[in-house]
Amino acid sequence: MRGYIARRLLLLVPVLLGVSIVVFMVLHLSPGDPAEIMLGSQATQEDLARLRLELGLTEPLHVQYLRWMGHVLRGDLGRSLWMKRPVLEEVLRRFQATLVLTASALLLSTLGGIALGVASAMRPHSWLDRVSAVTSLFGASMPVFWLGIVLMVVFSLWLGWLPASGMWASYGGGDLRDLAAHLVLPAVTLAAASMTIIARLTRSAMLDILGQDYIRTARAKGLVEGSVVFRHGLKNALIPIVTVVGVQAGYLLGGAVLTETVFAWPGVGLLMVQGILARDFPVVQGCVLVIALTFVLINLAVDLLYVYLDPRIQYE
Amino acid sequence: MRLGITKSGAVAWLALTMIALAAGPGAAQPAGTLVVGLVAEPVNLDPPQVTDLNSIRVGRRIVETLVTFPDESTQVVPGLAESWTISKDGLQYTFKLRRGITFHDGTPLNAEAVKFSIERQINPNHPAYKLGKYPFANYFFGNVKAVEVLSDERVAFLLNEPRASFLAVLTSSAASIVSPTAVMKWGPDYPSHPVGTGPFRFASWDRGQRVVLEKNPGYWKYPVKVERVIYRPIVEDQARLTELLTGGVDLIVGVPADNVSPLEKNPKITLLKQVGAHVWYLGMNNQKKPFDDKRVRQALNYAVNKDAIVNDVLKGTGSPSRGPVLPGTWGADGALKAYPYDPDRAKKLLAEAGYPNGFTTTLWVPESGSGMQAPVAMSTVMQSNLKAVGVNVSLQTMEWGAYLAKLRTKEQELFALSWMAGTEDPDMVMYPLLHSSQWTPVGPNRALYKNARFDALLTQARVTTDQAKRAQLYKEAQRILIDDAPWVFVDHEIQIAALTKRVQGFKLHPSFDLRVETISLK
Amino acid sequence: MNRRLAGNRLAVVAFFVIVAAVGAALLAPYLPLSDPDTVDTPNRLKPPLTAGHWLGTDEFGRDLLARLIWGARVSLVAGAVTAAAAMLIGVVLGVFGGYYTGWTETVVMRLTDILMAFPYILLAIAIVAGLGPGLRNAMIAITIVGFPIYTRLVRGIVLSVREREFVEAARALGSTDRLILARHIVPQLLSPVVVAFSLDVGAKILATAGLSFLGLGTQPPTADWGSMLATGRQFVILSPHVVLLPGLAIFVIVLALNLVGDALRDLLDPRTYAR
Repeated sequence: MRGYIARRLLLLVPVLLGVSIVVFMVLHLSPGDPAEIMLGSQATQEDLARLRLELGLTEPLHVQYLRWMGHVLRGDLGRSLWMKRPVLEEVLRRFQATLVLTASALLLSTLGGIALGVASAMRPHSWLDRVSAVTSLFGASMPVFWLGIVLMVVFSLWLGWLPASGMWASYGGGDLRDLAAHLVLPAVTLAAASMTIIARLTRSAMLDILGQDYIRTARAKGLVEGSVVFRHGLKNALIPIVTVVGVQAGYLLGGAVLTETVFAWPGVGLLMVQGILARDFPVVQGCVLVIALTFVLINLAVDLLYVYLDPRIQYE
Repeated sequence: MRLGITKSGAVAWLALTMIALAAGPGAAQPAGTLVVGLVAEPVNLDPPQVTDLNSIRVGRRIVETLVTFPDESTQVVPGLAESWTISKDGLQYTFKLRRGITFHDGTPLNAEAVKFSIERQINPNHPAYKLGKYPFANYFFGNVKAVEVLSDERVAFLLNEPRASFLAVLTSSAASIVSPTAVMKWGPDYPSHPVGTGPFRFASWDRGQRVVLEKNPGYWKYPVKVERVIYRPIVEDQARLTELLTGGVDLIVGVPADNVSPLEKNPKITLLKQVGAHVWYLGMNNQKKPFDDKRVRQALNYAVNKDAIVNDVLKGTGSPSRGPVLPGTWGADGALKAYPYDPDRAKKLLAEAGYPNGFTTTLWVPESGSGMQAPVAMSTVMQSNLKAVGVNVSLQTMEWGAYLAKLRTKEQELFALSWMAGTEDPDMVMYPLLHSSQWTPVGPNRALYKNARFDALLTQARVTTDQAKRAQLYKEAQRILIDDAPWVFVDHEIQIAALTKRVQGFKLHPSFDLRVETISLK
Repeated sequence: MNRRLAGNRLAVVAFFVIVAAVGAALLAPYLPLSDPDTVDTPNRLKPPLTAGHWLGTDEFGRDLLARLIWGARVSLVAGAVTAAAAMLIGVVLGVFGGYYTGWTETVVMRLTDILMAFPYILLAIAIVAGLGPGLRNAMIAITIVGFPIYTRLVRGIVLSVREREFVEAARALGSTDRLILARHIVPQLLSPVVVAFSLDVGAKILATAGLSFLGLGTQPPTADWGSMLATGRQFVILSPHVVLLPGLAIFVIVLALNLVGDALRDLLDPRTYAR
């Protein structure tokens, strides 16, 4: 087991290397480059050529890649072409903000989803089952930007209960209460879609488990329903659930872009998209590496969790 | 189970609840703080190193230029320089600086600072040259041979060629005067710690959240009445609007066209409108069939329903255009007539040119981009207009970066683009966009337009310093332009700003800058 | 017993809803609809139940009913095809990654890691920028980004099933891997994969909306639910029907798929608690 963990951690290196190569290639081979965008429609050939030279874009690709990797290995993610600031500092700070948002959303959707799924599985085809299916599916059918804007209009504009956007108040504020108030709308928006898949998968997995023989045996033995459901049922159903939570966590980390855009949440998703549109290579490359690292660690954690949940699983 | 609430306990509990509730969802607004909702976050705050509007809007509150625009127009007036002389041959501009102005860090504004600010961008041997990247240095100062310090207050610019638009160049953000001490002190980090002579000084920046500027108490021009300005980047239009309506921000720009009318009727909001130095056009590849035929180009001009675009899509946030020059400025020709909407005439012209059944073509459109207004929506209307006269257009939308790259390939047929002039000098608009020496990929003339007489007029107008004479030349040039119709001129953007009633004394500026220093808060 | 019948009746209704949607989409050219592409700006943003426009018009004055039905052709295909492709690729890889150990597992799972770690937006922009915009390339991007969830899901389940007694028994009896996979492992995957798929179709349609939000999906004037959602979002407050209607259409399809999926599960798995 320890050998397995060690091997997986070692494999981090080729995986991150792979990610770095892919992101580098994708960025540099896409049409348009930072010089093009900086100069915009006023660009002249001469200015473009000069700027490209200054930005180091004229060197052969592998040279640029190796130079960048050299810096990365020393812990330096370079400087943003546009913002002129060190990338690592920038990415980590924004990552904190995304982490707060994603963790809240994940907590909401996991707890809510599992609760909903278990309740539905205990009474399949009942009105509870149907209603929870319909409402959660509704949340999953509406795109994030629609749901977010609607929630914003209702709770901020019409009711005035919550602030419309941002992570902190413009002035004053700065305490936990301030953060919590700003967190509610974006976290709920993000959680809506995640919760559905967790709920439906939980329901399905629980139905499978609850139909199995050993459950019937436990019931026949006279065990309390709660113990039957939770101790014997849920634990085994958790494997697909934990998998999906892990996948959602990863997607949310790098993909909370739409929510961050709608609510002006200063996270890494927004930074990355703006970097992509501006072709700010160091920023995008830096964001992707940090997100990739987190994602791989989450996957590792999920794989280790499998062993805890189902001791029969072994890795060689 | 008894709850055991004592009387004092209950009072304490009640008091705590009331304090908690009284804090409310947001702190009360301190007097003198203005909150502005920006469309995107500034990139950095050193104007010569940025090219996007939002960075310039914030950055220009901190630094100033030798000459500037007054608050309502784009005519050139004294700024940090109180007067200037131009040599007879047009090759030397000498400026006399105002006395007694200091930068925010206490160092004095003098000719050395001016020389430093310009030379750091163009002189590879300058100590500050390698500290940053100056994308438009060549575009603006390519013609500058040297900057000379004549005395503490006198500085001279020596040019390679006479260029009448040089004064206009010195109003641009690339010509901002910065504190040499600050630049050398901060090095490559200077863009995050800007120091200038402007009405506001830089206070702090929480990335992704807010930029805070504080008033410069020693500002030389007039006393600034706002204590603090906080800029919040809010990308999503609906979110920005909601913040305005809930009092989270005091001023926003970039109001989506459809929200203009409801906002106008809202008694708590003031709406301001101003035509900007900008032009949006449908470009045609003048060197490619069938657009090499003047009749086809004119036909397209008759076919596009500009009023429908301006009224129905832009909802009044655009003003129909007659040509590239902003109407009402000295270079415009008041007698010029725009092409009226006349699909029958369009069909006739097409038939004359040999296309009685129309033809098929592609229109490239960027999804977004600086100054592009609502590119896809506007192009969709044009597509429909052209279909009605037999021209079948297939739209190809592209992401902005990819779009710019593609326009360099010369393969375009129809394309939608815009241009922000920043100044009303026609040379800064017509020369780069329509002079034949500026054909893409060398320059921005993506329509590949060429007309010898037009070229000659423009070249001559460049070097003449007499404004009246220049105006004559440009009038003739515009008449040729309208007849040749290298583009379909669609509209000039009307900027919209929405403010809460608390904000007084604000005016939109045609250069798209946001001059919040004139504001006082009620 | 009663509950089961009720459940199945609902599933039958859902099935017919899907058939109707697909039918309407296929028959769109023959139905008495207005032209979905005609721009009529004076009549923009008309609410539902206006004369001549049962469901109202969009921001260009185009008839929404027509755009919804024509859009079904694009969206249903896009959603179903990408979800199916992602499912196929993902399940196959997940089985390989879970059942086999050693190099196979390492290569498959670490490659999946790389793909998952890669932000979807970037990949979408790259593919679209490289191959050009348009629905087909958007679908490729969405499929590539969309299969890892199936891979991870399937692998986890295969890992636990592969160690169960009946699999060991089968192996001891000499069954080949292929037989074991087909007979014992794959049936265990049916439930979660069906659930995931029925949610995934809707998610894929929404993904096209996300791409249109960024400007990388179908080209105007093509109607598809995704781009209608994306461009309509500016009217959420002013004229909500422009966004609500395509959203409702997606909701109905996703709900119907889920109900049918549930019924399928109940039918196929003899021991499910739902019976």
